[in-house]
Amino acid sequence: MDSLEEHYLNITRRRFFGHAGASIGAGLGAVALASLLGAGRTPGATEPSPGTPLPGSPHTGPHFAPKAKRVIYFHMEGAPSQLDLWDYKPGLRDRFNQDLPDSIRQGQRLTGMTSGQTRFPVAPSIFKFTRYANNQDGAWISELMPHTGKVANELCFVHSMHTDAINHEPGITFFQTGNQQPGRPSFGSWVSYGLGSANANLPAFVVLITQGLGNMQALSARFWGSGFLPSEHQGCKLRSGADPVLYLNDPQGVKRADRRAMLDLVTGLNQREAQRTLDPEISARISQYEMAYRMQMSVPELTDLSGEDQETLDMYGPDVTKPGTFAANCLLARRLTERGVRFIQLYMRGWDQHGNLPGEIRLQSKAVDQPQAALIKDLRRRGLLDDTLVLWAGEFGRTVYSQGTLTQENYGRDHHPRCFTVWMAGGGIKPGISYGKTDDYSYNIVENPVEVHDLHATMLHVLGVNHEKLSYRHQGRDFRLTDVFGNVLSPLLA
Amino acid sequence: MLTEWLRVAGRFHPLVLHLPIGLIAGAALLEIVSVVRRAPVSRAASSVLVCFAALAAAVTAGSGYLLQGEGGYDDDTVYTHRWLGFTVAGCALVLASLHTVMSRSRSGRPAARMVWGYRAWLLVTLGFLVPAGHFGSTLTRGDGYLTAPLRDRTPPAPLIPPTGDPPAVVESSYRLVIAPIFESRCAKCHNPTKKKGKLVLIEQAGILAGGKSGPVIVPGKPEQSELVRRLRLGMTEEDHMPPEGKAQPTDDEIRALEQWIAAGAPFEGMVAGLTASAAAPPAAPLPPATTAAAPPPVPPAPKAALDRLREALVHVEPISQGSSLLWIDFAAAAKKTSDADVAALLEPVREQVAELSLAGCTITDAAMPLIARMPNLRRLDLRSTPITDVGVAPLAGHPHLEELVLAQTKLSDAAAESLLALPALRTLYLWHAGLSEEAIGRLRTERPSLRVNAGEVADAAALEAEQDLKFSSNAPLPGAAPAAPAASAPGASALVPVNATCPVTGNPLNPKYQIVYKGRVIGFCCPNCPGEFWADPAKFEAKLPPPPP
Repeated sequence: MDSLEEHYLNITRRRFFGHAGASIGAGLGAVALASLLGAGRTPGATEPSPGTPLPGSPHTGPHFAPKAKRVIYFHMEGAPSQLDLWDYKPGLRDRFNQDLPDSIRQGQRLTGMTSGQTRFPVAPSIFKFTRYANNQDGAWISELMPHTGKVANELCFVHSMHTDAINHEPGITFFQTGNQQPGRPSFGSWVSYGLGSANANLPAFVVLITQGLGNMQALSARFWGSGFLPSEHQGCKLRSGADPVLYLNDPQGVKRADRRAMLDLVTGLNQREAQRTLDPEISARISQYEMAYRMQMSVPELTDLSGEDQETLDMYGPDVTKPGTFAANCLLARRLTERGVRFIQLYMRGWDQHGNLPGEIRLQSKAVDQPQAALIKDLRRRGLLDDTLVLWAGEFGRTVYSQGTLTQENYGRDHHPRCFTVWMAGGGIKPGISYGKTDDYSYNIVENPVEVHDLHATMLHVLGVNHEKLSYRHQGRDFRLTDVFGNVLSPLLA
Repeated sequence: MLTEWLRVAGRFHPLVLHLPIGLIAGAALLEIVSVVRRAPVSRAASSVLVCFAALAAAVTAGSGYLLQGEGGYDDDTVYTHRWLGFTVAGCALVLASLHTVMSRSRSGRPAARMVWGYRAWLLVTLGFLVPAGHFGSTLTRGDGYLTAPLRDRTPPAPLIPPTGDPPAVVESSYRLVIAPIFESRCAKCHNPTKKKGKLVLIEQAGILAGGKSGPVIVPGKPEQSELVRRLRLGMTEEDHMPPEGKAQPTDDEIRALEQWIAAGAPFEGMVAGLTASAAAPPAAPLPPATTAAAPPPVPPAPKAALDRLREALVHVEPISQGSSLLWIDFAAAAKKTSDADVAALLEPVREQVAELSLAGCTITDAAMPLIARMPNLRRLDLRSTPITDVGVAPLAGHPHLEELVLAQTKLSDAAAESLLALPALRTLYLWHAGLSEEAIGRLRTERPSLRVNAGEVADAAALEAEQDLKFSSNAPLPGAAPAAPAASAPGASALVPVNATCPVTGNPLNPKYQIVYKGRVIGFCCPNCPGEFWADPAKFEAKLPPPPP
């Protein structure tokens, strides 16, 4: 072995063992090594002692007793307009086509798409709002979301979200990873790393994607990437076609036992290499092969809807039987929840309505409204909503002024990171409340601003994780989902 | 850079201050011994002592002067300590000079007058040294530190107050929970004597007054309270409190403070959840029956049993780090789990199971007696299993079961009896469980505090809905509020401004921004100017053309 290779191996080795004593990764090095050496198949190889993780898992359990055990995260890719859905501003109806006052805009940056506009005419929402009963004085919700309105008593609206990014890629990256630049692990990867899977036959982090009906932006796979965390924590994207996972069926003439034998042989070879190099990517590969084998069994059962009764299917709407639709993905999300998957992320594309917003948002809302409300109700009656945390969020909001021509029937809205609305429901979150306020133009926050890091910290808190302690050492630095920021929003906690 | 080094020099004060004390005391001891034993003192020895004492006293005074510049001490005490300290240093210098003069006497033996003069001065020096040291310790330890053990010997209050007399002090969450936290974690520095950061965290007045950087608590808003922010900061942060190396409050204590501030920081009365026994984390759900008497600690589950569970692909997780209570979930193994498996796998961890999910498992009622014997079971999920009334019956009387999911099971109305016999039950899911509406209604009436979800989720009522929308541009712009009503005022028949340029800025007019003032239309250049005009019309009137006679 030449000295350079030895040097590299030492670094890897140090990385491996360096976790002992560091936050939730306590003893990870030891356990990772134990699993490399085959301890997972021959339990009892290591003696238990106080503080060491439970055998077979790198996880020592949540920092404190959690309120929620899993997350369903609806990401509305493209940034839905808070003004037309959740943030009720009736006063704007009498400001139609007025210029946005400088006292409101305060010269803040705009995207290149509207910074050249000579006027910023106020575009009130053309949609009627209804006030639904909740645990406060009611929630005003747009006519675009009638079904969601009916579960208003389960929802916790945050009207005062704000973000740092003004464009989609950095915006989504920030919301998923806590940083605008690519390269950090996704929220789901952190949860997978921190808490592990609760179902050995399914990945801990599953991604479901619905193609939008409006203007779509690129959706990169790195949004659910594991960054510098071991690769087995990356999100597993289920395909939206008829076969959610390719090659589920064994080829003709190959028996399942043969597959197992082949996999065991490959695992043996990989383990030998893993011991030689101590490269963590090899152990990731071993666990991914094993997961793929198990998913061959678990996924067909997961996607087989024959056991669902008609009433349930009707609840999700007519699209529920078309694979890849938001309705179908919501039903799949419930089935994943039932099976204990930790982090289920649904992307709905197509909310980027720079022009022709009223037309496009109608279609988009119709696609999500009934299924998302059905999912909330379905989780509730099955006793699953108590320990499942649901988040509905875009990457930013949209402007009160019209992008392009404003008429009584049509307008567009540009990106607006300074305020937007997200909602949560379920485990550990106060139901039926609104938090934070925006000004009369839904342009600036006037009460209780919430940063993305605060939202992350709060969600981790609900999952029983101290966001300051869930860290991973990479290139000499301890990284966190919330970086060096984040405050748990105690007013939102049930 | 220099100032930083001076600060470092100042911080040597607590180290060097002990030298002059010891040396002067040593010099005094020599003289006492000499008087008692009627033997002359070795002047060479006492010379070393007093000369070094003078040097050390000067260094001590200098470093003390530098240290006080950092602030954070009670001003009066610092003042006294400083002047006493400088006096000691001066006395020590004089003492050293006296000694030098005395030991240079030509006769070889110093004159008795000289010796007694030296001794008298030594006594004077000591007389300043003792109070200087005392006030110094008051600065760091707090007033009354020395005699505190004597004063604390008040007899303990009787456990049962004398009948007839109301208790003198009404207990409050502040006194029971909050004050002890401040006392143990904060008051060593933030007391009326030491006042670090001009902040005193003792008594209502001090806590509400805040410190150098303003108020430390915002009642009702823990997230905006400086106190909570500092406590929650990472250890490595400069602003973190208490400083690194000092005793840190526990998470529970911080949470109790947050809870107290969220409740409006009341100094009287009880805050829900903040009682003497409850610095307990609100996140840790304890069965209500066990809060009164702490349950005996549960031993950790046998490792072999955990291994067997994991071999069977059953998820096992401690409910929180370090707890021996377990959450056990059969999700991955559901389809091939039989009663025998459940019995074999769960019997060894019977005591540790706090949350158990058998959802979708192919178990029967035969598995249930074991589950009923799990003493710490808090949440049980039997969703989508063929459990019947027979299976639920053994659960009756379970003291800690709080949540029970029986959606999609094969029960009948007879199960209601068993369910009503669960004293700790708070949440119950009965969607498609086979119970009739009457039985569910009976559960609800007999146990109003029980949350029963039978699947008939009531929709949130629509309280009001908007009718047809009308759009206009009529709303006044912010900052031009008086403009709109004036526009329709009598006399404003022709909306032609009387002025040619904006009276505020002198810029050209924008027809959108006009007001009516004293019956005349006045134009402005931008939306901000009307507001400024209305703020002080007289100032701008001169710039308008004179009114017609």
